[in-house]
Amino acid sequence: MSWTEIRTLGSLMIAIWAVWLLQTRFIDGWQVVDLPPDQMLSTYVTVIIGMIVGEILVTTGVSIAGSVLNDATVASADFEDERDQQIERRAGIISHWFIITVVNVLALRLIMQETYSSSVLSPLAIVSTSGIVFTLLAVLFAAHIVKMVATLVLYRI
Amino acid sequence: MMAKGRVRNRIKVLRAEAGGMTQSQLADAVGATRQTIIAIEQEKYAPSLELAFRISLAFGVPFEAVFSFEP
Repeated sequence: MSWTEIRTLGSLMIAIWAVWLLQTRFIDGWQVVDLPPDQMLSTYVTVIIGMIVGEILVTTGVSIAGSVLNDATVASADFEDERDQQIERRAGIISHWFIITVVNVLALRLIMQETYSSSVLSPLAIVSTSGIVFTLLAVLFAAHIVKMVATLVLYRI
Repeated sequence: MMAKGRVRNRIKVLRAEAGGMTQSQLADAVGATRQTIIAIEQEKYAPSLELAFRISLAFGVPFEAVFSFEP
């Protein structure tokens, strides 16, 4: 596994942590709970700061690990060549289509919910402020997870 | 629809002929990562025209001595 892959794996772990944190704060059973504004803000700040700090730690950790192991390839951890850029571009396209798909599914689901009130599917409770905040952040971080997973897979095939 | 061709290469042989040049040395010489050289050698990745020319220049041989195309 290359250092670039290790860094990507670290970024993936951080995104999974962010989604887990959102889920623990916003979700109770299968419902989004109505959080007070101060708790929503503290969750948002925690997630954003956690992700920034996590990314810095992963990048620094990879550099330090490379130096300690005296691995010549670590010098290339910060260097991206055409294949790295191609993989990043392709992973970005996959993530882009993931967002388009999820947003369309959610929009269609909400429209159907309003159109056919007797739907057999349980209604989506994302009309509250908590629901909107959770949905937007969850889609954002899920797209990041998809991008990281796609990057790891594309490095292997 | 046109069938996908395959870019073949003799990088591994040429490295051996160049006195056992390592993948890292070749990567440094052409401005790529070692992982990319591995992927090209294993024919999992077809390099850009520029990188392909850089590789042939690194070995000091014509382009067609390194790369060939199987339609």
